[in-house]
Amino acid sequence: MNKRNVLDYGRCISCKSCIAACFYSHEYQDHLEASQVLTNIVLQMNCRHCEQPLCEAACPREAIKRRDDGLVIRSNIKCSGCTSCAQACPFGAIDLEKTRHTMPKCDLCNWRTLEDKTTMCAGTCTSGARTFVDISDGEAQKDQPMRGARSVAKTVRRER
Amino acid sequence: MAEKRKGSCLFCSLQCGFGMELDEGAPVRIDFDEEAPLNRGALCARGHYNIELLLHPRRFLAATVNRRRVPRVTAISRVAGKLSSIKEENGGTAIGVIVGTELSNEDYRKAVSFASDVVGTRSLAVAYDGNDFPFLEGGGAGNAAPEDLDDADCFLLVGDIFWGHPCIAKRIIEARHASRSNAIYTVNPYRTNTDWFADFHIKARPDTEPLVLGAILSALRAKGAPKVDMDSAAAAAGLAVAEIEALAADLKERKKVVVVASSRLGNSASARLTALFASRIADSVGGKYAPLFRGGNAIGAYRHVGSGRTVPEILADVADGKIKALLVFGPDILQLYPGAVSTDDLEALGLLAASSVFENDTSKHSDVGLPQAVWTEFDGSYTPSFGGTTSIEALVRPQGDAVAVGEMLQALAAELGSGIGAGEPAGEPEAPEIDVDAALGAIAKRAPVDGVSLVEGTNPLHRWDGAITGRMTFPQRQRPYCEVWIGEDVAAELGLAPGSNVTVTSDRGETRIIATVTDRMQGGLVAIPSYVPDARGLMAWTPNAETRWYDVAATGVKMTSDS
Repeated sequence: MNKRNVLDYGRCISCKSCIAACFYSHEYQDHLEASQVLTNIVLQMNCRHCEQPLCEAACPREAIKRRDDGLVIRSNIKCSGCTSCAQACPFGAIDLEKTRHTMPKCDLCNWRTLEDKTTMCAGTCTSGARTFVDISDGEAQKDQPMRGARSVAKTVRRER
Repeated sequence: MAEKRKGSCLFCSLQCGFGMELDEGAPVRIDFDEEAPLNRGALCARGHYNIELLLHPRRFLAATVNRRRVPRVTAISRVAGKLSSIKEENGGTAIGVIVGTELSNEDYRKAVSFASDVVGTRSLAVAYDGNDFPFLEGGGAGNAAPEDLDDADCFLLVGDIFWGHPCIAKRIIEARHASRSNAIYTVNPYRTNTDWFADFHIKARPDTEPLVLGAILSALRAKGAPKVDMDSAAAAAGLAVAEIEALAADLKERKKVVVVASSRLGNSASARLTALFASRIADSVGGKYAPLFRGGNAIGAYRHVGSGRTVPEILADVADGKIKALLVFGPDILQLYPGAVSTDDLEALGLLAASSVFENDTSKHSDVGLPQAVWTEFDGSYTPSFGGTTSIEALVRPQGDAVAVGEMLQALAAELGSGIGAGEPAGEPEAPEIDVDAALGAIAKRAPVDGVSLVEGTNPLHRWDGAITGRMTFPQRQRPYCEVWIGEDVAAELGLAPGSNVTVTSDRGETRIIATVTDRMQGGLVAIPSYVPDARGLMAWTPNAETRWYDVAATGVKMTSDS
């Protein structure tokens, strides 16, 4: 599976429906990290499911594994909530404020994506900013970092 | 065995469709309903509360008499017995009935039949949220269909539509981007998240929206346009007269304009005129008008119950002692209209029976408490903002002793020895005429408030009063849970650092709250969270004889920094 969550900040209305969808579908745990960057600007950060995940390397209990299909999955049973993965993640995508004894970590809504459905956060998006798209076409994704940077800059500029 | 069923959300009048996964009849998780005509699968944060609402451990599920748990039949018998004796002593007119805005259309018909045929009272009223009632009286139920959002080339959005009703944002933004020449115009007192997407944002001072919309109507040379002093309208909007005329000319040239409007707490006459002019602007340019309400089935309530009596009138009768028994189905009237009725007045009643989904202040003061089912627990039809009818089939069986209001009314009628019918809807009531020019003149003359003035801030995580949404886990986990938005000028005056606490004082009380300093707020405006009872209670709720609703305003506002 080569689909990932993509967020266009230029279209996001900051309604937090994606965070609520994630919260309620993952048994009241925040798998989708949200950061208050500036006043009233909420940046929502999904796990990138890195090719070489640092969280996997940092986990002392081997609870985090990168599967063959590219998904970086955390085992509920093995995780002890030591926060190593959260500290290792270069994107701050794992919530340090754990609500149970385990670290919440995006699983790309495994139970839905197996049935070829969208992730909860993309499915619920009220403005069309968050999409669940195929990233296997490298050419099409070339300008993604630039587009991302531009949309963040626009968002920050429109709000202080 | 897992199954998926479809339901509708009643946290606002969009009535978005959603799916629910059930396992042997028990709700498991929310899914999306891509076939829902308006939201097409999208669901705002409040929509996701529908599952927690069914699973919430603190639901009010057992009937009470004098705060002691009793079987529902005992509670119903107690209400019926008291009603009989009060009716015998004082006549049916001494009984008042107040219903909320989340009942099904069928239940509203039963309420009408119960009040008129069984009890013999005219005092039946709907507890609308905020300024929904004058908004309905002014502009009616609108004529827009969901498809109108897709092919419109211009939107006039009055109010913070994207945060108040997020599920239509996608269609509006997509229609805007369909062509470079398409446009979004917004009218809001401060820069809201809706205004981020606006091509032109009219910053009308709070409660002066009718002046601006009336000026646009006047510039359109529309039939029956009000007499508006263009200079004072332009001053209220912070624009030049030529800019208002240019905006009107642009609206006239558009192929399809959709006017979407929602009300805000404030002057009820202003809310009524805002809706009236918004609908007339849509008519005069051949466009469509969609009013959005906070109450899930506000339009259904208005069509079925009518506007014979209003809550301010009934609560005034309670205070005067004319009403001896009050039945409240759904709303927490003590919190919904802070200060409009006192607990002493309620305690003095011969009978106060209150049904609710959660125990609340009104049910705590009631003689009889009746648990009420939520909209996903019973069948019914509802009337949404974008036309048509929403039919909901029960997703799960009601829990505990909770039942739908219609069922409670039927049981009460049976105890009283009669039956209730399910009559035909009364249709949209004829709103009484108001002197538009005089009302506009009064708005124009109202001087801008010196110093700090409070305005209601919209929050996408809460229904406006927070009676249900405030009990949900997700919004409670947000940091900060509540905040006031303060402009940089006010913050500089107070020497306020962002994130520090301020004490906001008005003639009605004070509250301590976190301050967020933002350049959204200008001219001494401060946005307060209406879902926090203490913050809402800073406003005075004064009945307005002309609109028959409450004017909500804060006077004597002062702010001090706690740092």
